[in-house]
Amino acid sequence: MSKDLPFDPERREWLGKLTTAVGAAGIAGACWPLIRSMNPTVDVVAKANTEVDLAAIPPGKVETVAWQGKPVFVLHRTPEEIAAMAASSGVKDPQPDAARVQKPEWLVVVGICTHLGCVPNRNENGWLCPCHGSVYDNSGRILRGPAPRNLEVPAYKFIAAGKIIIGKT
Amino acid sequence: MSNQRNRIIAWVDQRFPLTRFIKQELTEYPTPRNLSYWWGFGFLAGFMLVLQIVSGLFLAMHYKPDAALAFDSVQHIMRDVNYGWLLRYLHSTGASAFFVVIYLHMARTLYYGSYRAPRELMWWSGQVLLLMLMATAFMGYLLPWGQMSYWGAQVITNLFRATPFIGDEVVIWLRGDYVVGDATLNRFFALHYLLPFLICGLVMIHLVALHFVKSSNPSGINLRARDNIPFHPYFTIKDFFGLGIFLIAFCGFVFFAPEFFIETDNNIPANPMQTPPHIQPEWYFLPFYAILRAVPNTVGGVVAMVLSILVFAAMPYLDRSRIPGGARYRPVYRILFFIFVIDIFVLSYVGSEPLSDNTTLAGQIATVVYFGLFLLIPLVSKPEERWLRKRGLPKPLEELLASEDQPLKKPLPFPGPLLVIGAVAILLTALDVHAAETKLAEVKIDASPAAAQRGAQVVTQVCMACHSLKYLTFRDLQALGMSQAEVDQLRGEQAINTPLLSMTPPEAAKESYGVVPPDLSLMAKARDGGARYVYTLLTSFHQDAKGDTQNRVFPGIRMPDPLGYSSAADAAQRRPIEQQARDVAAFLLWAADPRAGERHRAGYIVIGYLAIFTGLLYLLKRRVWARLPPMEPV
Repeated sequence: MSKDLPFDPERREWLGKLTTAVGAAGIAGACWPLIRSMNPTVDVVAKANTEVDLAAIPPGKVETVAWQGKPVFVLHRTPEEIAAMAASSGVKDPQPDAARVQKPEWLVVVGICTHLGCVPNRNENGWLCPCHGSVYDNSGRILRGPAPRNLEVPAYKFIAAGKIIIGKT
Repeated sequence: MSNQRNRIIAWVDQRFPLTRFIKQELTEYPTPRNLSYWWGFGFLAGFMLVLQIVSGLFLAMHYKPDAALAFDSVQHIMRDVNYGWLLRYLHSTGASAFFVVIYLHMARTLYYGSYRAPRELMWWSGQVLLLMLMATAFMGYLLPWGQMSYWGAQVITNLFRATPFIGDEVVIWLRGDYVVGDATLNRFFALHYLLPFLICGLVMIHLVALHFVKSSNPSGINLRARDNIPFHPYFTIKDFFGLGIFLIAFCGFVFFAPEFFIETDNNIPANPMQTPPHIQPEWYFLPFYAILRAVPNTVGGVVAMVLSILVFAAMPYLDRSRIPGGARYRPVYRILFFIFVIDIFVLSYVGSEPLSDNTTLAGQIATVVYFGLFLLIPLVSKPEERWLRKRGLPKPLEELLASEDQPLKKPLPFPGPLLVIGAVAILLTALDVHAAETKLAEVKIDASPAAAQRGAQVVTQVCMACHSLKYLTFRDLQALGMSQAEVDQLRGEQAINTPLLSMTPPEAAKESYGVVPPDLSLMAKARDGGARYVYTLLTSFHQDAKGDTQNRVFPGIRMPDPLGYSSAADAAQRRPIEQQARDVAAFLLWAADPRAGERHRAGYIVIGYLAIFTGLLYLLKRRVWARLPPMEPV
């Protein structure tokens, strides 16, 4: 059928492959906005930082604040607690206390048990998770129970006049 | 590797007719080789269906079908959702594009007589698809919950009062409320989501019928076997090339003129207490709307409108001629077709105009012509056939059927350009771009970021005394380029994510001025003329003889002269105020569409890509088709 025509199968195959590749790239590119649209929206991302006024937290007390919808414990530690924590380095997931705080008086940790995501309850020596009994100390380090890791320390920084801002800024 | 693949395919083939299906329906599916690009609109319609479903799916992840939240959630999509503006503009422009494609698909079928035996079921299933598409579009149009959405739904649901005996009950049942309300919105959303899947099912039936009876072709007769070529690769590549061209035009609208298809009034939230001064349906409903209005009696109007759509189904019976090829070889039928097309344009124009004695009369004449043409077809098609045969054509019909090159008469091509010009004309008249703007000042608004920033100062310090811009936050001002210090000073103790709310509470403002000052976030989109409207309004204040401040162009407006234009003594004093007004307009333009810059940048990339891809498709198509010898005359 094609004998007497300028039909060059090799050239056509090459052109076909190129067109297919460009088309496939286009389809992949078209998927990108769809995927991106499912990420947190601009207004949600903008609320990803939480300011905490430290002056309102007396020594020995903990305040639970919401950050990106998650509970964050801000503990104002007493000198005794600081001394006790500096002296130990945890059990299951050893870490010096100094690596977990920016200023010794203030412990900031995400209040989500590293085992299965429950919120641990405060007691005099730290936290006890009600779900499976994981025990954390006043540095948020895991002492006993099924939790594999210490409580997560979020990104935060001290800003002017006794305030911290939690989240990457 | 390929051995492995063959074994997998063999395994599948024993359980599912995969290879046979691909052969029968694609690589060996016989397609008349003389199909023109007008036969590509079915493929484009399929593409639009998929695009609407996909964009709609992702929109539904962010949209809230609640009367109190719907309008805000659309703004949330436009401003906060990543690429939300793209999803929404694809979907809103896509609705119009879908109808363009479907109407051209129908026009081709009518022109070439493709509805005749044995393709009646294709025509009828297409007719049902059209009705389902219309229902889907109508219900989707309510979802943004703007003024036009609301009143469109109010009027159309009211049509069902024409139901005998139980009209009022039917209307209330449809709405789930005494007016269009929250219940209506919720059920329309549910049905708008459901219908496209039913459409998909019917499209399958449409395609099964097509692959059974095979495609018609411009000659109107069945080609010899050797002139039927495999669908793949010849028509896959041809259809994709057509798609590329179509997408370039489509994306031009999506990225650079998306508001073209969105009525100004739909940027104002639905208000059940006040109908906009001029309501009209979307352009694709205009001809039918004109027919509805042409009949003075409600029930009669509804019946006429329904008939005007359903009458297409009768075409296989109305057309009595056995001459193939539709309008291509039949001069009388061709004339009727052209009159019909012109009549559609007249009806569209009439439907877009406010009711007056002239438009009513024009609408009535066009309606009579519309139905008259359908009634004429059975009367003229037989005499036309007899006349054509007598004229000597006559080469018996059978011989004619065997050869495209000995037509009854020199064939005319499909009047595509006419349809395209007409469609553009409809759009322009239907959108009525000029009427409302004539009284506005001829001013060019410099939409640069610098102007918008200057405007932001005026708006935050002057306008926000009474007006809010609730879809913007202080963070947006920073994004516009205001310095941190300026923004901090403006917001005081308020968080950076606080919406820009007026300094006067709405109740207090209402007490002073009698109305709640409208929100300014969308002002540049919610008034005809947009930025020019804002500028004209601000610079039309003057003092009348009694010393009262009045607005020349918008008399009766409650807003006092905010920039002090009326107290300026001469042109030199007015100049800085005019500059301020331009800056305010520039800022509001940005406020209404803060993602415009991002959209334009994306548009250049997308259209550039499409141009390259379509070029490649063209080259490949030429290569693929070069393999075929020219179609031999018999």
